[in-house]
Amino acid sequence: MKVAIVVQRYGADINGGAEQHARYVAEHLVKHVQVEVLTTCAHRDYVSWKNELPEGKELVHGIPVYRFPVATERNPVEFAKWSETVFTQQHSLRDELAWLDAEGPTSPALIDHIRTHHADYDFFIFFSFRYYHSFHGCRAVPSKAILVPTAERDSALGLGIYPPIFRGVRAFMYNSYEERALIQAVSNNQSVPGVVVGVGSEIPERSNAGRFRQKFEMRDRFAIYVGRIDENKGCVELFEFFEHYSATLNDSMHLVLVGTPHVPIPTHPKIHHLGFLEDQDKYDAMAAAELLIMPSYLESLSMVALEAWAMGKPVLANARCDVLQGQCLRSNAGLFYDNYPEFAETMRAIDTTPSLQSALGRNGRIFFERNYAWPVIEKKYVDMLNQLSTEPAPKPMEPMASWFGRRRESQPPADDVVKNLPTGAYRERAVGPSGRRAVGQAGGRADFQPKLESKGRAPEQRHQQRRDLGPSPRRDSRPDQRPQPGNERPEQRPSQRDHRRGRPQRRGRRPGGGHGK
Amino acid sequence: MSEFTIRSESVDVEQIMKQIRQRILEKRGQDYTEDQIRELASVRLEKFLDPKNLRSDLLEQFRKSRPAPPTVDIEPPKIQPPYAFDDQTLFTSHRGLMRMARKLLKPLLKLFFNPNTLNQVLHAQAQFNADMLKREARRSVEQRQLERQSAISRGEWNALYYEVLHSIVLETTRMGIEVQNLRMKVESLSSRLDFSERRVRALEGVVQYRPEAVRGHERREERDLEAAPSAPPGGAPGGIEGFVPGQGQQADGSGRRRRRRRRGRRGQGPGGGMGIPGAANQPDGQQAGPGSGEAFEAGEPDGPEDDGPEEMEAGGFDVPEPGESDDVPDSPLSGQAPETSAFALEDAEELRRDKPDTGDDEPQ
Repeated sequence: MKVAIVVQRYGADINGGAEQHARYVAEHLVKHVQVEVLTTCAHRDYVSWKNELPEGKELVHGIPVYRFPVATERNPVEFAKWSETVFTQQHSLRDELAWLDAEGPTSPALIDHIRTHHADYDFFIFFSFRYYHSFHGCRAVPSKAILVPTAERDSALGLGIYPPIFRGVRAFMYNSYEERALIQAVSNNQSVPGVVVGVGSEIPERSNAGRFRQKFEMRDRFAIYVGRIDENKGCVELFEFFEHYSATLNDSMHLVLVGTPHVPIPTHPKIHHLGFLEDQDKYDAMAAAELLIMPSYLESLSMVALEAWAMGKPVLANARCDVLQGQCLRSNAGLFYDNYPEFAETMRAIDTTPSLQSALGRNGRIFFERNYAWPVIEKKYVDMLNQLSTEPAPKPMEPMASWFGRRRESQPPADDVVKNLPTGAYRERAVGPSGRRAVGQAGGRADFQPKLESKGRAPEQRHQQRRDLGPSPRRDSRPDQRPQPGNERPEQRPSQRDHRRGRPQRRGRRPGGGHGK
Repeated sequence: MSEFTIRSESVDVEQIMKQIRQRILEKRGQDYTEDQIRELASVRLEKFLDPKNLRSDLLEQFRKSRPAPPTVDIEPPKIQPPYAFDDQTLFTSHRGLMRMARKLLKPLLKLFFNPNTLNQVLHAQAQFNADMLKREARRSVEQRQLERQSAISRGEWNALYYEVLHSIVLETTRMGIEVQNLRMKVESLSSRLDFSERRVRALEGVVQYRPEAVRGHERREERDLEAAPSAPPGGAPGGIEGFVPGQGQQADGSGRRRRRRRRGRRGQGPGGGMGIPGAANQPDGQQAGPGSGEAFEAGEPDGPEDDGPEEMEAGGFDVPEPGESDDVPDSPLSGQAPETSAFALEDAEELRRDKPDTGDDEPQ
């Protein structure tokens, strides 16, 4: 079996979330199937997708990587203009396609290669639904397309061009239950096979906390944040909360920041910024830390949180990120906060209760080993590939709307669509008397059966949209998904939480269009 | 947050978060509203500041002392516009012939350009200049008024600032003193706590549960009763101040007599005069009856011994006595009890040296 992994950038030194995710998957899948990577020539500059790497074939850790040039670099001004149009205004499908072209990485050569060489591959695994390569690649080879959406609650999810893609690919490899709920809510694609997989991590065999303490002269207990230090990641709020917290507790722990800053870091005796660290130093720092703080509002999967759990460290997450909250609840390995009082209390709980800290860390390690160890991940991928290879290909993807249909201003603002998607952590409940596993929202909230009309578009709008996008596929024609571990399908979905409606929606992506992993 | 009781197999994040949120809600319930805080602040000021020096209308004074908006009733001086311009200005002349010629040729001029526009623009400019001058004059007048008022109010503000600063200094000083007092109180409580802990350790080291000791104790007390009349009035064998064996002891009962005896032996040490002034005031030891015995009890530090002999007997706790012999002192402080550790003895010595609060220890 030969599999192509299609991703916007690829390289051993690229630390972006989806890019790293793709590399990890490629390097582990190669043990089971033949793997090739199709990507662009973009490297460091994820804002403009500038061609920095040579076109052609290259071996990265023994895996053949084919690079294709980006035809048009991203113009941030134009991208911002189109983002404003499609996210906040009534618009047409043509506007959304223009937004997609503006977002990039626009590489028609890559799509042409996929189209012309599709027979060489059994399956294409596309990473990150929102980019040019995934949209056009999935449309080029829908019967062989497996999508790793890396979706989070951002405005792009509400665009009208994506639901046909979500309904038309062969399978999904989700990162989290919350991500699956979002995509199913926005596209009603329950019939498409999908499994919640996530990604493993490359934790070193040994990490040395003492080495870190000696190297960076860090003698106090500390919490750590690893990642881009950015407002979108919740760092500004974290600084504010932490300063306030430190002022109220004399012997509170310190905060160590690891990553590239994009916002000013306050000068505080208990806040230490170490900049970007090599992997070994990073893992040493995590080993020395008491806990990891993840203040991000939007994540499809936090690899850093998984690494912390793998190292037996508890996680304090932002409750406004459904995925992190859900993972904390499912793993019993982390606490979460929604405001300052909760931040202070949860910090204090972990700070002053060693038994709680160690218990959470222990649960985190178990959670990681059960769900995110590489053998588990590899098995899920291989099982999915085997399953798909034995099943007949479904009917083709819904065709693109007609010329007039693409120009009709029928699409609602994407922000409004996303605002009405279900929110909250997704948590499996105990097995009920009937033996069926019920799934509901954390906190004992009432479950609900989502309705299409509640997704922010009026019924006539949705009907209009479907007409624009072409005929819907017969969902019954989809083969049933065979039950397999980790592939349970929820009978019910999390309900909408009114008090979460007012959460800040990120306007567009970060300049580089990363996915916050 | 150390209130959390965590067992590794029973960590439930949802439950912990519920507890945390409940705690936050409870804390919020204890918070004061803004009005209550203001009320408390005012009460505190009234309580701590000298009412003679406290001006209740301080805020009002601040408001009043703010410079009022300048009044514009004073008319600015008359201004002279630099020039006037109307529709005839371009064509006027002091020479009549010239004026006439221009008037006649005006239609011809209009063939080449439109002088009306020029007239209008220059007229508007002249008007604008005049308005600007008027505005400038008015502004300078207001500025002078403002400066005068601010000069007046600056003095008032300085006085108010001084008053506020003085109050702040006063309050800060009081707070400092209060903090110092609290610190001393905390230290005192800490020392008391240490003392109590040492005492507890000492008593734990020497006290054992021995039911037979109670029986032996009763026998010993009977012998004490027989030996008591022969004891010297001033407690000479033990050299105890205030130990007043007398008739009253016999009437009191065996328990109380036992206690006196033990305390009398304690007095043999260097700390024998540990605050039993009641006995010293007795004119005669023989006259000391039950009342003196009560006074003696009150002078003792609180502790298990104060539970009274009845409680000791009922509970079955007693001081270990080697061999239960009358010849061997039963007090742990005698240093001869084999069960008594050196540490316990040391603590007991400290226990004896430390005098408890004497608020209730004054003789009746």
